[in-house]
Amino acid sequence: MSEEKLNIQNETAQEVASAEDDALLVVKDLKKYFPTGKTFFGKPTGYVKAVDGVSFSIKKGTTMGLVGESGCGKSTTGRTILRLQDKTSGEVLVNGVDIFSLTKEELRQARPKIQIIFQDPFSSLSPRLPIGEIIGEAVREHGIVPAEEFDDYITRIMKACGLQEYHKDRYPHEFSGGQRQRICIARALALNPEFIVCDEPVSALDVSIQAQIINLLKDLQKEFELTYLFISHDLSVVEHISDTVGVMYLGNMVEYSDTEKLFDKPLHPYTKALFSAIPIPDPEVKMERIILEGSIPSPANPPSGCKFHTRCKDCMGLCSKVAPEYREVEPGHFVACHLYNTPEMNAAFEKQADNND
Amino acid sequence: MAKNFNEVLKEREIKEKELNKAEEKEMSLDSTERVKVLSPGQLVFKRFVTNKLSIVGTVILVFMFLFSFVMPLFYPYSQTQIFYKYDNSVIDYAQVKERTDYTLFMLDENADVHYTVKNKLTASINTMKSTGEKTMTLRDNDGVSYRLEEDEDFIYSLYKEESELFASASGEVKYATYSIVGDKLEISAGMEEVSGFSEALKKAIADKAKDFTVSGVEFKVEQVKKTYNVYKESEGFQYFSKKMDAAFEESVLALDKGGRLEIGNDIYSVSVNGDAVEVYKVSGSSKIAILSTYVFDTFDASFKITKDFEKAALQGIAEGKEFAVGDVKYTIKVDGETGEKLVLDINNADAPCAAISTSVIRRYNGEDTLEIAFKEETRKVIAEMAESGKKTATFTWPIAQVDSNGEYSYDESGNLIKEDREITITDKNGSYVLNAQQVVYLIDTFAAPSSEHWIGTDSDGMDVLSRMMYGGRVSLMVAFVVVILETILGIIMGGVAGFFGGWVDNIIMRMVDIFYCIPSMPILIIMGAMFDALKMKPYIRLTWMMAILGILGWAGVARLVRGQILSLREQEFMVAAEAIGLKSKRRIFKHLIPNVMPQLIVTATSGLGSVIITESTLSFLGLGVKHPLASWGTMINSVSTAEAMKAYTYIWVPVGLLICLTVIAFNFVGDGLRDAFDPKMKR
Repeated sequence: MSEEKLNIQNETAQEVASAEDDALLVVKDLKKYFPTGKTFFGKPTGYVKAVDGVSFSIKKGTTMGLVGESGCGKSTTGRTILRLQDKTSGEVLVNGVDIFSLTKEELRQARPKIQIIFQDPFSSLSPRLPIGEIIGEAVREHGIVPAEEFDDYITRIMKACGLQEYHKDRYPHEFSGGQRQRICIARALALNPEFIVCDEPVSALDVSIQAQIINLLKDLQKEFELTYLFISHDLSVVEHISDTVGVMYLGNMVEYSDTEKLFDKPLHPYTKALFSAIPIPDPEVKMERIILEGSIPSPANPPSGCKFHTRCKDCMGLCSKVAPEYREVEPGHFVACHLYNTPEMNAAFEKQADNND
Repeated sequence: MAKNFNEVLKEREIKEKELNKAEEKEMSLDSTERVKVLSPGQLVFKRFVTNKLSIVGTVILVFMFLFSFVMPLFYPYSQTQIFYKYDNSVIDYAQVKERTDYTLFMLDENADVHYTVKNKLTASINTMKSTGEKTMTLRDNDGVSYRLEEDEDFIYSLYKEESELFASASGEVKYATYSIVGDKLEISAGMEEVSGFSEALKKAIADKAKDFTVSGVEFKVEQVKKTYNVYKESEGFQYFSKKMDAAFEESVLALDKGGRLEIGNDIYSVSVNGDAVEVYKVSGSSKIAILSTYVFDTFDASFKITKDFEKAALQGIAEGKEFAVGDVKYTIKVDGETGEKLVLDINNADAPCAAISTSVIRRYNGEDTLEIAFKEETRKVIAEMAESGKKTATFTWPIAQVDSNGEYSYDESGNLIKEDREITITDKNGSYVLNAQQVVYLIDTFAAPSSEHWIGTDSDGMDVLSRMMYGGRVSLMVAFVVVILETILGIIMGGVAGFFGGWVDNIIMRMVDIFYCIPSMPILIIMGAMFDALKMKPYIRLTWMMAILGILGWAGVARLVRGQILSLREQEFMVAAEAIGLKSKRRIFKHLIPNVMPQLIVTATSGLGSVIITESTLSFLGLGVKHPLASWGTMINSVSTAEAMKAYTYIWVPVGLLICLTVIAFNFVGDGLRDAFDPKMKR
């Protein structure tokens, strides 16, 4: 990766941030690399670039959907934003505060404001704690409500999430998947958060329960002005819940826009291919599927230039050489693809490609 | 965020309540009242008690605890109490021994006998007996002479003689002594000085010559340190006071082994020593002592034989006349047929008061004196044996017996009750042993189960049931202490390794590997030998053993805990616990530990069983708990041989059953607890 490209990316990130000053969450050029294998002396032999420079921001009270196929770095992005794992570089600002600049204790105390709902409701609940304790332990620890109101508060939260009071003393294994996901939601909500990362919260559930949970999340958002980062590979769900949507491919954000705009007119070839796979519940309509060839390349050894060029049907000579710029093509619509370059940019990129050769 | 959740929800609740106020409260299907809610502890308990096996295990364990810790309080015997019994047994009852050493009774208290003479008195008497001589002259180093004279078969008198050297004859006589110190020359008495002797001697000394000649007389020189003894060839008898005739010399030389010579009123004593013959003229002698092997057995126990009595009696026997001790007069009666001698009390109508013999009859235990009748009977039987040449003989005699309480019984008049017992006499080269059946006090080993000892007694005569209880204490205590120790160590080490990971994990796990590959048996055997060498007290030894077992055993627990923590750490609920901002203390103790607990409890409980087995094995091998502390292993060890196992099943079968039951019970309880702790188990 050339210096110039890094500069371009950084500038873009700055632009995004400055454009959205009222944003609750701002992510600037976030990178997360996992070392793969170690030499005898403990030096990593290589890196899996799970998140390779992602920038976006979410306005308060809105939901951003994050889509992409499996392994593209959606969940890693979500977890790194919450500092559940360390970043490689970049910045995450919540209400203007850099999460990674906090000390451990400050972070612990800031935790209630930023919550996460996990994908797997079965493994994310400790099997040896009763539900009341699972939901309430952090409430007690952070002193969210006065001690005398604690029990009532837990009951209220549980009711708000569609759980009954008598569930308090039961153990997670006594609940169905949907109920467990509600427990996870209740656990997150009980801390009075401003921002919740929903890491594929419905993918483990059957469709009827998915709807219940999605609607629950939407209701709660309306009522409590919550901000969501909704990670999913289920596009219909994302379309339903999100205000804006980001599309990720192999660690990079390739397209970002308002939900309506994106679903109406996807620009990136990958987004187009992805959206063509949304089933339409009408047997009369013939689906025009764009079949992507090959499989997603290894993030440990990503292709040069545009990471998608190996599978792109609109691939140009330039694509394999220079990575495209992630830029605002239309107002509020960002895309990273050479197809939408202005002629000047093309010239610049070609020059860069020649230099690289 | 404009509003707190709590406030929003509260408002909503109030509204709902207002709405529902009018409506009758109806019991819905999922109302709290319908669903019985159990606390987590109650749930575990409920699951535990519904498991039959765990109930069986618990009952057995409760029994074991009561048996080991409570029952000894009410049981009359302690673990180290040794039990005795009285039993009929053929024992060595008495011994008969002929006296061969002559006792010396000094008649003249002022006189003393030189120890060289004293030591050879018995030997001299034996020589006299063998040669048939009636007298013998002994001479001590100072030249004092003593004379032994036979008075009677077993009585000899010792005289001290006053004598002087009368004459001597030898191959060589001492002529002179020359001392370099002071240049002193001394010519022996009765020698005439040869002229020129002194000069010739000095010359010979200077030349280191062995002999020299002066005026035709040959001299021999012998150096003793700084003195020179000069000898010359003897010229027949040499007289020191009075010259005697040839007849005297002849009669002296006739006594080639020495002896006494009486010529007229003069008494001469001749001693022969190689070539040299010395004749002493005895000027007077006095009896200073009397020697005898006679033993006095009294007829009446109240009659005490004193030294004075013995002296007087021996003299009386020797002279064959009456004797008196104090005011009492005695006489000796000799039975014509048997040659038996009796001392009769003249004052008391010639009643026999003591028998005289040369053999001593003694009880083996030395506790009581035997009655005279028994001794007489014994001597009679021995005499018959000697006559017929038999080696053994038997006779019957009443002997007092102790009862089962170890006491003699008496009749109304206060006499000892005696029972007839057959007594066997065996000749053992001159001394005789008397065997008789007797009731004796014995350690009650390997007693069969009885009302006193429900499971009998063991090889040390200790109550088996009592030792089983105390052994249970030791076994259970060892098991619990060791398991608690290894669990604590294991949790700490495994917890640290699992939670922190990295190089800490690496180091601890390599330690675990090392502890895994240490062969524990050899270590324990070495330790046992070391404790033996240090002569450690049983309780200190027990403490050390527990510590060693604990230290050797933590590796398994540590590995288990680490594995569990590593897998749990990656579980999503641990990430969730971090995401909701719990302190790491709470994350460890509320999320990690409870999830490790069930595994740990199962390992610990079955560990209890295996520690009991290890402890029993060690004690069985004699390395663990030591006598007199009881342990189930040592108890089985006491009947470890095949014959003992066959004969004393009542000792090892109950103990073995206890071990088996306890171990099984611990495993049952462990399994029950695991199932109860596991909320996913639906039983």
